[in-house]
Amino acid sequence: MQNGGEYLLELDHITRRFLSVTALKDVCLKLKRDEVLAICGENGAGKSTLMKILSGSDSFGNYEGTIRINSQPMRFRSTKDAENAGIEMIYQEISLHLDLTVAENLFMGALPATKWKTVDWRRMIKDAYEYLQNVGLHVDPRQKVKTLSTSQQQLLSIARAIAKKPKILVLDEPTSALTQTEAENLLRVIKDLKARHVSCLYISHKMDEIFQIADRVTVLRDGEHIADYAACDVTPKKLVEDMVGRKIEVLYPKQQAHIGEEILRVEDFCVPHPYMKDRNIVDGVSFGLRRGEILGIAGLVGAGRSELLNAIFKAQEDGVSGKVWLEGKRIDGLSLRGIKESGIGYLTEDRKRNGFIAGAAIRENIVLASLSKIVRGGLIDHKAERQYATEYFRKLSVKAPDIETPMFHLSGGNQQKVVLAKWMMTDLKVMFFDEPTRGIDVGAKTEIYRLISDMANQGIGIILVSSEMPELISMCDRFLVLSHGKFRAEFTKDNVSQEKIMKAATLVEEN
Amino acid sequence: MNSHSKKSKLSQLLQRFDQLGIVLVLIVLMVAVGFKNSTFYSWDNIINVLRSTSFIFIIGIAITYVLITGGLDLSVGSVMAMAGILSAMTAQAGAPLLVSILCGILFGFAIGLINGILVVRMNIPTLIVTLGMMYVVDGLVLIVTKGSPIYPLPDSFKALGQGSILGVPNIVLIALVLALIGAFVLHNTQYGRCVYAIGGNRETARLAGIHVNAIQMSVYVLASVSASLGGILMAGRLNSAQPSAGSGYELTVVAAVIIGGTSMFGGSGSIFGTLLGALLMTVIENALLLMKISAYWQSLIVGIIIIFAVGLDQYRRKKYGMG
Amino acid sequence: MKKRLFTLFSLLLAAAMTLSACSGQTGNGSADSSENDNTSEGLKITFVSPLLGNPVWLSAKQGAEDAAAEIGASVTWVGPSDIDMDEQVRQIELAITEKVDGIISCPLSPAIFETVYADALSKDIVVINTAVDTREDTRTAYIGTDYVNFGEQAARNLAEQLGGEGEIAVLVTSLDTENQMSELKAGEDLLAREYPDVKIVVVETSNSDTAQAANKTSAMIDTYPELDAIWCLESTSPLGVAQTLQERNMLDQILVLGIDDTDDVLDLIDQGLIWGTMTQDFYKMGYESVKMIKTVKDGGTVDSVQDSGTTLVTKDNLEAYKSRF
Repeated sequence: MQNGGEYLLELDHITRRFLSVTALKDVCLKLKRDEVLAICGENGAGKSTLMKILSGSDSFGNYEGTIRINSQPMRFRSTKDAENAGIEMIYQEISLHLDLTVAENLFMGALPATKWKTVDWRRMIKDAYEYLQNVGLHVDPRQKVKTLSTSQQQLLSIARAIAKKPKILVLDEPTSALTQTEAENLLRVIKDLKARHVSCLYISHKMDEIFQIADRVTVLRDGEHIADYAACDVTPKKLVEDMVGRKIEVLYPKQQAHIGEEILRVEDFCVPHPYMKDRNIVDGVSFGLRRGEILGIAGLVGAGRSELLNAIFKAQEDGVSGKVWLEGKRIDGLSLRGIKESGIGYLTEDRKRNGFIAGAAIRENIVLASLSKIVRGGLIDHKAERQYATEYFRKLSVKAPDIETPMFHLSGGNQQKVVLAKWMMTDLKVMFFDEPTRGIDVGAKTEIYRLISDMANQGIGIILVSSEMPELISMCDRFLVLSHGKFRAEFTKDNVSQEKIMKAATLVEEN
Repeated sequence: MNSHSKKSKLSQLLQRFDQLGIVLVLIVLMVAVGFKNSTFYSWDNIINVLRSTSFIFIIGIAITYVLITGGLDLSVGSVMAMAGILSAMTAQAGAPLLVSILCGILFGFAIGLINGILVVRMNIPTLIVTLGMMYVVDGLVLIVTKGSPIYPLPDSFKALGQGSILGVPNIVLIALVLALIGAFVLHNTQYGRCVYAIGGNRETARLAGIHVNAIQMSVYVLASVSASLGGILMAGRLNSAQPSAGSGYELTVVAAVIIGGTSMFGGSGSIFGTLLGALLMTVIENALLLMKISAYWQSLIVGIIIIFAVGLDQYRRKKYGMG
Repeated sequence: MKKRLFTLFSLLLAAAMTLSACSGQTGNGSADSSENDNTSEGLKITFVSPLLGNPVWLSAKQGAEDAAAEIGASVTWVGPSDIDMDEQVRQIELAITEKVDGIISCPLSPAIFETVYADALSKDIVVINTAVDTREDTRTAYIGTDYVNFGEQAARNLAEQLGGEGEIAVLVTSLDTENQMSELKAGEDLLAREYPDVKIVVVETSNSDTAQAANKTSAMIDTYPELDAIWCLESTSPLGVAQTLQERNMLDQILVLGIDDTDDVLDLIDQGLIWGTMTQDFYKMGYESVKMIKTVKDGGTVDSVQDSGTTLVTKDNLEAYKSRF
């Protein structure tokens, strides 16, 4: 049943230029039958351009080089072409029709029809069960997609792709929106696909995932092909070094800061549950934070960690109660603006949604929260603005041509650095971080960690919320585990462990 | 993708010039019509074009602000008519010029405030709020006038709309001054920066401590007040306040603003672009007439030219946006 | 939105036309009417006007009352104070329950009136349309301005005034306003037949916006330097045209013919800013309507459609026109 040579898919010397910028330079890539090939590289390494060419969605379509499937040269002019050739894509961002049912999404474009050409619902539901089973997704096909969790939606995307019986499945960082357990489930599904003779291109920069599922690894950097490895022959450290192009000494460059007196005090804090009426998601918690301390708040997704930070920062006010002191002064009566002015910064979980302005320049984003520093009598002092922006642009070594570059041109890591720069420019006393390294490549992660550590060194009190256990454990001085509305455990870094935190986080309320 | 090749300063400048397409189309149009009929360049015709542009542009300046915040205001046409009528009526009743102008402006202020409050506090989509307001104000116009114009107006009122300085009509001068102020505020003040930020990402702006509600409300007030001013000037110019004044302006103005490159989704836009948009609209209309193109063909051609001009800019943006 | 405003406008315009053309030399009307020798006495007639306070309809009312006095009938004058067709329909229903002999109205939007008209006809009530007509089988008779006649007369007046030679520009609301387009067509045909040296050189739209009329006028006189006259087929234009001509100092070079007799139009004539206006004869509409009801009630027949004629008002007959009541 197989014709052609050893390779199912070959990319031969692919080069793609956008005007003066070369996004891909002479990239060669070979995918064998029934294997998972991981493509890793930092953002901007050319992965997404490669994806676009493969999926036929590169609107200009003028790349150099050849794509061969089963040794047959192919050229995709539209996504339809790519699909016909047996290539299916799973994107980082989920593209489902939220208001339609699971089954409709599964068969979108190819709804099973009865002999009267109406939609054959019974068959559709039945088939849907089967496809959902394949990916281990146990939901009712008649359910609306918007009622599914993010990971369920991601699984559904995969089920939908498999329903088209592809030969090659291309996955672009499919786990970036998932929690650890959800991600593991997904990886298991991908491993199973091999058995169904579906080969996978798995694009990621998460080392643990790559080593769990990949047979081989290809590293890209700055649009160039750097190396090919069999997964069993290479170490994560070597891969990371290939990706960033230099030796990484320490992933978590945490320095021990001097921990001073208490700067933030929270007492009897309650936050109502966003979906359930008459229930508090955070139910009467109290804690303190000291200068120079990094306090980690652990917990499962949905435990109320973000809600807690939101409410202290006054980003969400309805129904919140409790007392907050900053340097001994009550601040819970202030507005969001007042809280910000008094010295609290908040790097939110979803930077795209409320962290930065995508259409604006780096400069505008950096000064956004400190307009008072660059404004004299209502007028913007453009020179001061450029000076400030340049100062932070350099200090955080944001990778971009200049401070006028629009944010949407930047990689996730650089965007996050700009968001951080925005808060650093305000006179910070306390900084909240909510998942600061989500969707960011390894190189940039380390830089963010260094910046957090530096801030603590300057005596800023820091609260870090993260679902990435290694990150949390390496960075924090103290840990609080939030579960069912209350802190269930407290650890210091001397007695903490991943298991202890998980145990406390999954603790069921006793009574 | 961040390697930067060296380009000449000029070509870089052209690349960043968002409205190059419109400018080119304008130039081609102006040269073409000049060949066909040189009266296009007569002082009278230039004044005529500038004057019609000014009415669109005065309101366009404020609508640019509204669109940059990601909003929309469809009530400006009706507000124009009503403000003109109120001012004309008070002027007819013998009130001093300043008082009658103030009357119209205050009306605009009130309508803008209501629009703003409904949008910000009640969270009703701007399209619905301002569409509703358009009907309401239209209704007021009919109730007050019974459909007939307020006519004639006192001389002082006429002088306002018909007067000129060194041959340039007042309205054109007023538009010029407002444009300079509008552009200055947008680019050089904290307020202008906040307007952009809100349209760029409202949540981000809010979390950065910007008074998003107050600023959003203010742009609706600006829009209504400038519509009032436009309505009053128009009444002066026509020596009568017509109940039909400003009809269709809500769309013409929004079209001019969007043609000028202001995003319908907020976050970007410029007063200069709006000026070009307004100019393009009036120049096309004027040019077609001067080129003796039958009225039956005009709409078709206007549509093609607009799509072509904006399409050219979109294409360029897409092409250079990749780099 | 534009569409909506536009509809509103056409309505207002229809109203204005209807309402406004109050020409109607009284004498004329009475002369026509005297032919009725009446037998029946005390006919009850309701005149449902589309807009109570409007001067145009007031002249129709005058006509109806004059005719009623002659034949000893009584006319009740009702209608909404704002354009409100529902209210108009309610007034007609009321008249039906009062068992009047005849109803006179102006069905601004014909379809809305057909049901209530059918009801009236079935109860033997005579229904007369003025200014705007419904389908022929839905009413007894119609009297109003005949578009063809109106267009021809306007064109003829212009041509005569121009001395049989010249260039005319036309301003209409839009190219799909039906009555204006038929008037224009009739005018064009007449010129082609009888005054071949008078040419319509351009037709432009104003959207019933005075400001646009002003702008277009400026461009038109630049484009057609030989232009001799501007013919406005909608009533908000003359003001804008005059405004521009004044600004450009061309009042004595270009002849302007307006439409209807709104205050501003008459004022423009008075000040010598425009030459004249074509008015519709609302007095006659009212007068003849009453007479027709009588004829029908007496067992006679009337023409299904009657033209009420138009009158040219210029500075020469302006005073007479204004004091015609």
